[in-house]
Amino acid sequence: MLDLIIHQRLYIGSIALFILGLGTLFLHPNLIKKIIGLNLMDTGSFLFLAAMGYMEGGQAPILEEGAEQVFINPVPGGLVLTGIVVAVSSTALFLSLTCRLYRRYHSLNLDDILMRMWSGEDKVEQEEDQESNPVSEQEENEEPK
Amino acid sequence: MSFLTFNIPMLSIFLSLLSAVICPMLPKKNQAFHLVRIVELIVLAMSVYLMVQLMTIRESFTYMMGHFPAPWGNELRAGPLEALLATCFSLVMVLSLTGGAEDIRRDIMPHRQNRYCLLMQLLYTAVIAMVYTNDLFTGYVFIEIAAITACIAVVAKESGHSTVAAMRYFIFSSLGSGLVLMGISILYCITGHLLMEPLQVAIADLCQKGLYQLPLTASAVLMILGLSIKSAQFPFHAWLPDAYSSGTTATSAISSGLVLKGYMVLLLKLILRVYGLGTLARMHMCNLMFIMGLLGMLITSVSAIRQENVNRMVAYSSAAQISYIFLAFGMGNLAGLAAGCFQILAHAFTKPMIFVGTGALIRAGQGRSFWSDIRGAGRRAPLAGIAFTVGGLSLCGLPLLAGFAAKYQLGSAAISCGWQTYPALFGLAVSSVLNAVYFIPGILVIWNRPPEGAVFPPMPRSSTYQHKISVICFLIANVFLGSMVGTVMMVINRGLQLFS
Repeated sequence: MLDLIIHQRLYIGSIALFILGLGTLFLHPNLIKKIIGLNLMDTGSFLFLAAMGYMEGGQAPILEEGAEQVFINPVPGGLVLTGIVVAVSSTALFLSLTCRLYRRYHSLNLDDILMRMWSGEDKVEQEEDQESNPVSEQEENEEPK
Repeated sequence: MSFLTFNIPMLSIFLSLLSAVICPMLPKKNQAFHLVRIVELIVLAMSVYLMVQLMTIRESFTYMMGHFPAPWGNELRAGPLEALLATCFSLVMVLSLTGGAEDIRRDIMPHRQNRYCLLMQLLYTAVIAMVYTNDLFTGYVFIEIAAITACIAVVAKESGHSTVAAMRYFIFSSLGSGLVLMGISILYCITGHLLMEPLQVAIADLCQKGLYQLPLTASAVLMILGLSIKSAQFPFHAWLPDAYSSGTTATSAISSGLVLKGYMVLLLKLILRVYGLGTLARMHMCNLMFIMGLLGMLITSVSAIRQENVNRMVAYSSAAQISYIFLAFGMGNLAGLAAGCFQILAHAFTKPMIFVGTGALIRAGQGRSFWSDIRGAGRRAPLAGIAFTVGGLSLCGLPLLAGFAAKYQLGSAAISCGWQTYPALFGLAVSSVLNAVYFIPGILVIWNRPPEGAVFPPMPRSSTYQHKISVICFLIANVFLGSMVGTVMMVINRGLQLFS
């Protein structure tokens, strides 16, 4: 059993990270912690991908003349890179939404914000918001592939 | 096949991506609107040409991006079904943008309108790429692009409600894409492929030898759940009503008409081109989709009845219509998949029409989207009222309209299933009745006499020629789909035959 856990540590770790992140993302009311949860979740997926391409004792896949070598699989690495780009842009979007909500409701607690929103404080805040022109953040969505 | 025909899939994606990048650089706001629509019309024309060509030679082809073979390269694939979907999606996109133009001007700050065009064009690119891609990982990347742009499009209206709605949407969709990515990783882990044809061969091989059945099932569950969260399938539809009711008209129309459909097309590819119907049925995935669809079409319809806000009701109705597609895919036969494709098209033309109509009705009413505020709005904006009426009746299943044809196809596909026949027919009948229960009172309200002493804001320019053209085209498309079922089904069936 212990052997199996040690052998599969990367996969177990990645799934643990994913579940931890998922729990934080859904259960924590604080927006910044939600973002941290999102990042943990993404990291779990990336570790899972990278673990698949990894081989014990493998080297970076660069061919050298004459030497017999074991290479790790480069394709998952490429996928992780693409995934990181996606994760960065989604974190940026999430942060910008958080900024916008904070500017309007002066709180980072989502439950608090929802309560204020339904109790109709929205209208009062809206006028304040018109003056402080929010910074634009709509350009981080062109992922290079 | 000529050089141009061969390059149409790549050109469609490339042109729309290029125009998206150009949009925010244009000096005047109307230029971006025109550019976006011109590019979409060009893609529309190219897709029609491609569809006619592929239908005459009865073939499909794969296109290697940059001429690199697998596993380094990336492939696109085009067949009659892909060309048909691209055609319809381009048309819906142009019409929704045109019909929602007035609301975009009202809801979005002038200096942001060019950027809004950028968002819309990126969404469009993502959907077209999901239609044409032959590579699972490319599919994942465009899922993410669609999710991020759709969230920003919701928040573009800049109210507290829309920001919270976008956040909730975003949390759900990042979970969905995380699950899809996990599923793709597992699949890559056990097969070593990301392109669909080699994946299918490898999976068939694994199934024959009885190897890795557990990871294979896990990957299928993860991807189906991921895509169902993304497409707001019951029980993951919690984000949808807020997101659709707080966005501007064009956002809601395009998200429900196209973006959800993009995920469905990807699911169709997973079913037919990656796992194969037999394997999925053995893993009980078809039953899972069927039950989710059946429960979804009943429960979300019941939720729709309870809504006092017209936009929220239409949003719940979207979730119910997505459930029809899941139900069709879960039937586990080719007829079911064909019916699912038809439902994709029917809903893609009907729901944006309803949203465009509702947007104009809200403007013609007392300014808010509650039923009490739009009482009698149909009399002030007749064409919008007709759009809402025809769309509602189509979803209830009035013959000669697209919704009826979709229901008919679903019903006839259900006849040839196993245990699913009676539940499917029961679900169709009950959900049609429920559709009528929430749409017909709505239709009566908008044509009713306005309440005594109601104060209407001055009539805006809701009846501009753009809105008229959009609604009339939607109406024609709806009647066309409803009356020319045979032709459309012929293209779908031929596409599906070439699919696997």
